[in-house]
Amino acid sequence: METVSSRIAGRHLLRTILIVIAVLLVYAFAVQATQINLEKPLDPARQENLIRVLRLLADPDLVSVDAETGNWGPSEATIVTIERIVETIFMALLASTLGTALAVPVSFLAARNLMAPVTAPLAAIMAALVALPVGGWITWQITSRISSLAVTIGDFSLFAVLGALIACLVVMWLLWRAGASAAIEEGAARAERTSFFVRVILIVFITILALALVALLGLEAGAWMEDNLGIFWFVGNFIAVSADFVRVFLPPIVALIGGLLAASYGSRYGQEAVLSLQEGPARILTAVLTALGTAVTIFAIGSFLNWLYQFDHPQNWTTYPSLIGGAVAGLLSLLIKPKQPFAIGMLIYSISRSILNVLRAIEPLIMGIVFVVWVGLGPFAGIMALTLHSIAALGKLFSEQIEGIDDGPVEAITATGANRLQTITYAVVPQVIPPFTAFALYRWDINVRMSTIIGFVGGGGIGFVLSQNIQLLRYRQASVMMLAIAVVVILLDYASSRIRRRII
Amino acid sequence: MTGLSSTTIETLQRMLETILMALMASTLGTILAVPISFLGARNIMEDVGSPLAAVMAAIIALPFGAALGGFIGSRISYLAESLSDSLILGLGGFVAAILLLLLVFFFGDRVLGGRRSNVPGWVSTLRVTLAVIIAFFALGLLAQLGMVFGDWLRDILGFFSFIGNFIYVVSDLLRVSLPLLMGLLAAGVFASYGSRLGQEAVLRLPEAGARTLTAGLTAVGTAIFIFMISYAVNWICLLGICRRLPQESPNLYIALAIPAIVIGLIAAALSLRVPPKRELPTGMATYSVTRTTLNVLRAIEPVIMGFVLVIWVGIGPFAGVLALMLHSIADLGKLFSEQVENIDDGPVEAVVATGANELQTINFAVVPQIVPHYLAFIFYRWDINVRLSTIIGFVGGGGIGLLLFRSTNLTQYRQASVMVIAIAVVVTLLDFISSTVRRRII
Repeated sequence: METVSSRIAGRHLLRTILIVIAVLLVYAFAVQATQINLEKPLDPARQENLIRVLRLLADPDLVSVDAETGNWGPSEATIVTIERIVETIFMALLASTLGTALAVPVSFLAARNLMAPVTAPLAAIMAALVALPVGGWITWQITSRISSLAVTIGDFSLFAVLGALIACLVVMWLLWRAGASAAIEEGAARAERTSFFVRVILIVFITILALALVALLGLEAGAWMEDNLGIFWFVGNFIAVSADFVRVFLPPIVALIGGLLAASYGSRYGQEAVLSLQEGPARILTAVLTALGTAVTIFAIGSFLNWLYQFDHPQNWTTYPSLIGGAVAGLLSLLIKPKQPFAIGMLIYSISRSILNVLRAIEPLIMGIVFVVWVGLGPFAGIMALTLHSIAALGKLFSEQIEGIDDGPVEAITATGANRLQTITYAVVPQVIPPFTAFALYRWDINVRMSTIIGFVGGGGIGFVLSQNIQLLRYRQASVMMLAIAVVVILLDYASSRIRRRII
Repeated sequence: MTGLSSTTIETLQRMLETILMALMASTLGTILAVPISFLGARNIMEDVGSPLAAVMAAIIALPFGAALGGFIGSRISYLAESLSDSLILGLGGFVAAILLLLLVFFFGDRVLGGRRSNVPGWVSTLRVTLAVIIAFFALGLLAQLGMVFGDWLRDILGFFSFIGNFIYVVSDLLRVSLPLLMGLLAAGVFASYGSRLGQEAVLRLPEAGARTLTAGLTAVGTAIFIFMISYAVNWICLLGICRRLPQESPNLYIALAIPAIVIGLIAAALSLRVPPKRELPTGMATYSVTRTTLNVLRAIEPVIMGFVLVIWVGIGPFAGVLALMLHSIADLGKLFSEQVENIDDGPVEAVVATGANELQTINFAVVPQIVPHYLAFIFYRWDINVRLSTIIGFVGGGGIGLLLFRSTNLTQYRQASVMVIAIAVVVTLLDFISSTVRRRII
């Protein structure tokens, strides 16, 4: 017994010694690789240099004295710092707000417990894939026509726009009234249902027209207010920017919604058709839909790659692979049971989690480089970089929070016969609001810190002027900015921790 | 022939450098953050208090201890350095120092004649002092020998020359820090003795005597404190103050001493209103100072710190390691101390009830409770350091960021793309590993 235990003890000792040696070797290599040595920091010339810079940093250029009058006042650096620090805070605010707003829907897609039960037969998935681009394209066409109609109206005069807008509102109200009265009647006939459907579509189109008209009006009004409101000109600017945003993004957003609606309808009809059909026809339907859906998907991916890389023979990347792939996928789909549900939810979960992980891994500073190329130097690039990173980081944190919710309420709501959307609204959302708020505030802290340095790559904010000053060796001015960063970050940290404590 | 492009090879090298930067910064940051976190924990520091006289006595004793320790330390270092000019003398000196140390420790009783309990207090103090000085001498020799040995290894080991470099750098660090450590040690010992003497004196004296003693100590202590602070302010030239002070030697000291003496006298007058035996919350003062320092450091991004450190240690990964380390200390110090504040009081009270002192309480009641949380935070910080080390190069802090910044500035986007992909892959991978390890630990 003793020999055995001593042998075990000996082995343990040996293992410990080996681990210690391995760790020491790793650190020895790390010291070499990171060039840690004391020669440079102890070099008298370098120390003198450091002391000189520290003395300049200890003497921030806060106030300036007018040489002629002897009056004291804030120095140029102080004024610039205050302007830029305000810009920095607002960059963080906008990035946090946009990031949170966009991270919430993403987080639902990336929550395992919500996505795991989502399944559909192959035919439904493929029908959705086919319907998505078709619906998107149709809505895109209609919306851009409506937008150009609005622009044509706008070319006449402002009064035409106003008149058209009022006309739109009146027509919408009339249609709504008619629709409402139809909906009240019980057991509406098929014809009535169709007319109701037509009315809804008309209302949607007129709403799009109205939105386009409002955007035009907003642009005009914003430009006028910018000129006439004095110090409150930023209100006009805000209206103009928002209107411009609506004008530019109305067609793509409506097309996206249209595509998603079409996909959802396609999925539902595909599922119903497969489930109600006999085994044989269901198999054939699945094969046809699979062939079409795969072809469309491959074509879309190929077109994207072609757009990115500008191939010499685009058809080698788009048409041929999609035809071959569609045929192969259609044949292969004959092998599976058409009514077997596929875990499409887990697929969406994996894809969205992977995208979030990769995005999170790239620091906003690196993203900033790309955005600066696109939108130019300035805070806008910084906001976009911070927003993208916030979406990725918050998306992951939010979805983990959703995964950690209590199952009780979810089961209770599901037991009442609620559908998926209702379950999320009444069982999931109330549980996650406090942690979501806490995480959004946490992200706001991080964004404030990050926005102070995003300027190093040209992303605006105080980092931009700070790096300029340091590169020009104007350390006294840089010191003012570092001081401002420290004060603002500490104050906002303190405020957000107070709020967080009160919320949770 | 196709093969890896030069960009890919360089990216791989820099990525390794980046990860090792994060490793060094996390390790050093953690080691330094642990002691600081105890100073920044409210529940531990709340109970620490001492009378005004003790605080002032400690402040008076501190600079003398530091000066004495620093002087002895630098003398010892100098001796060790000149002795190890010849390798044989250095080795011989080291062996002799070790023997001397053994002699003082184990045979001291016999040499002095008498059992330990019979030895008067000053003799044992003298012996410990002697032992410490000899130990420092031995360490100084060891550092010198290590530098020679490491340098020699660096030349002969070829691929494994990094082992020699490691020994050299560690020995160099030891050599440089010895006088500093000696000064710190002596300052700590002096301050603690001063504090104890002051406390005992005040508690033993009658009210009036204690009041007088407190006033006297306060006057001297405050004056020394203010003098030290204003000396530091003048040295760093805070707010350009040094431009308004005379910089030639006697005049400068007079200019610094006059306000110190005046404030010392005012403080002494004020101290007469304080009950001399009342305990002042020195612990809470330490807590506030620590927390404020940590908060300020935490507020400044490592990238900004990197700017200043690059000026000091030059462009390269060392500056990045230092910047990340500094920020890690501040961040971990705060997280750690919050964890210490949240511990369960039960075990603490149980250990205190056994009559354990402050250090023992921390060792046996606090540490076991916080180790898992500390590990979690270390992994969290490691993740952050990996991310930050990819961008610290933008300001010259080494790693892949330096290369990436250069390529994007030269609009070599294809090269930059390799680096961004490498960053994404490595960071995602390390994130995954650390989250797996974390889940297993906690």
